[in-house]
Amino acid sequence: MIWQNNICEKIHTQPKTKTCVRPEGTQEKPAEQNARKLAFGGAYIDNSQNDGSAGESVKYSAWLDGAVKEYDIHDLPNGEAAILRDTGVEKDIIPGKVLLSMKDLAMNAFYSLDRSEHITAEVTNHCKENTFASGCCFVDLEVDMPLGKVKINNIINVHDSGTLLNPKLAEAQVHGGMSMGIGYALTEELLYNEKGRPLNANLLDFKIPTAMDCPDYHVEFLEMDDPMGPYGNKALGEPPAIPVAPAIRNAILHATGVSMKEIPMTQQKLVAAFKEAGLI
Amino acid sequence: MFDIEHYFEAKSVEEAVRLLSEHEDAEIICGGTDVLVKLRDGKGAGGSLVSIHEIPSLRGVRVLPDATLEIGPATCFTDLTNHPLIQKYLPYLGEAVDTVGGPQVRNQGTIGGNICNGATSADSAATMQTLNAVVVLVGPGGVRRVPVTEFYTGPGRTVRQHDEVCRAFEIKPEDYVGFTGCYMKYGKRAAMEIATLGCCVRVRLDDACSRIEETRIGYGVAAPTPIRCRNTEAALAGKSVEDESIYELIGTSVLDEVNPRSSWRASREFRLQLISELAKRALKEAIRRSLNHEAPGAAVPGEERR
Ligand SMILES: Cc1cc2nc3c(=O)[nH]c(=O)nc-3n(C[C@H](O)[C@H](O)[C@H](O)COP(=O)(O)OP(=O)(O)OC[C@H]3O[C@@H](n4cnc5c(N)ncnc54)[C@H](O)[C@@H]3O)c2cc1C
Repeated sequence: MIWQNNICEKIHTQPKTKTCVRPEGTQEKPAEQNARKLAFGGAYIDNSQNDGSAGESVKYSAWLDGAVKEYDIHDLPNGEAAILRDTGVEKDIIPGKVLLSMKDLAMNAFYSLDRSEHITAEVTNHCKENTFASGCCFVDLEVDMPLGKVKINNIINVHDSGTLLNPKLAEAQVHGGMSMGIGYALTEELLYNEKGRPLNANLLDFKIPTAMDCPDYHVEFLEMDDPMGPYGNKALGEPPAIPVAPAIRNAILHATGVSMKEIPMTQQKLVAAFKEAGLI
Repeated sequence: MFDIEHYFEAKSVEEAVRLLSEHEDAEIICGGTDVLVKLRDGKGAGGSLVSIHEIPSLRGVRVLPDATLEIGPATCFTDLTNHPLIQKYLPYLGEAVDTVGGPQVRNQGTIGGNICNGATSADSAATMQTLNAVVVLVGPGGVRRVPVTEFYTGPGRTVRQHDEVCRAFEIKPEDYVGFTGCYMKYGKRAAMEIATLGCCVRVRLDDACSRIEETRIGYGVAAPTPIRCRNTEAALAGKSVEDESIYELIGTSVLDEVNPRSSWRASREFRLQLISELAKRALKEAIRRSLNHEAPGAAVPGEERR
């Protein structure tokens, strides 16, 4: 099945990736879910293995070189692959022949004046033996106890996310996570009235930290190659946001001896806790 | 986006008063940072607006012949903070309005709108209380002067009649000469914040800078309207600046003069803690500034033109 790998390469997925490019209006079939890959648009067409018997048949329309052609798709019983079979609307399909590169197909489909259609691709990676990404956060802060104010003097996140694909973007991702973490720790809280209506569903009363509330963010990475990751990389989506609130909470404990047990650790909650502890 | 029946651009205060008298549904708009937000929420929709934003005489700060400082209500916060007369004579007022929202809001919002909206949370309110600012109102019947300490009638309500335009705020020499001050805004974050509490403390020391001659204490959000704490002010008179017990005194005494409410934004108990703590800190800073010889003398008439 030459087309499998080739298509994979063209849209930059990994061999384990299930790729499905489906025409608008069609539903994903169980058989499709089974198949590792389906190709629409016939970047490659393989007729040679079609026994015409196995699997469920789905009609697909592909628009190639200005002409609409209809194909059936069959899944092989072993679920290995799908086959595009010419339904005979136009006969001159040569098995295995490259009709159009993915790029040209996408350009054609997008810019066509009468048949413009988005080609979408879903890529998922069901990774069952992945490595954990890890990271940590260190905070240096000051607590103004009588006012319940926490001032972050210095903050650093350190992450092991394997090999970084785009170090600048990775750093920015961590900045975003740290900012979220600070809001999560100190101010961001959705409040409801007794009828369940949100009281603060606006950007005035839902307190996202402003630039004035955020210190400089320091980020370091440990780039340890990960053999399980597609490019030696590991996760960096969520990790930056995870350690910040606990680090702030522990720093407050370190500074005051008061262990907060809920977030956000708002000024009002802090003042109440400091009073209870006899600190103010 | 905005549901407005008529929009009038008044060329003079008299024209604005006439337009307001003629149109009962009309509201004054200056910077619009309150009015337009309300309109967008549908409050006052379908009404008319009389803009006073382009009336030049309503802008700037002047010194009147008796050294009274006259502040134009249409002066935006940024211009107020940067005004040489404000920096020289009322720096704490400039600092107070510099805590409003963010730079964009401060370029657009005005001190007139801040006082006339009647909000207890307005960042200029506590300081204006301590200044005994006089609100000059012009209506169809002429001019009347209302001390800002008698201006508020309830949350969002003032004595200003619908067809009265605030033409100026006057600050008499006895209310600023020899005084230093400090405004402390308390919010949940450092910008884009409506005050959870605002506190302004101003002091005038004796010539030797050893005793307090006069203290003025003003609060926003400590009650339904901005307030003064006159009993505490009186209790501090004559105290030595070296007497550390004055901080305990102010922090405790003000609690008998305030009436904050509990809301989901902050509990009464938390606000009381802030009321007490901010007063101590603002008093300390005001005294520090006096000891640092920052208290101004009287302004000279026409000084702003030189
Ligand atoms: C994002 C944002 C953040 C903000 N943050 C703060 C803050 O931190 N602190 C704070 O105090 N406020 C804040 N505000 C509120 C607002 O900016 C201020 O209250 C401002 O002073 C209003 O001035 P304005 O000229 O824009 O008023 P407008 O909206 O034009 O008018 C406000 C009210 O005053 C009346 N009025 C205006 N001028 C006169 C006059 N000369 N005579 C008689 N009546 C008059 C109007 O009829 C109206 O009722 C914020 C607003 C926004 C949108």
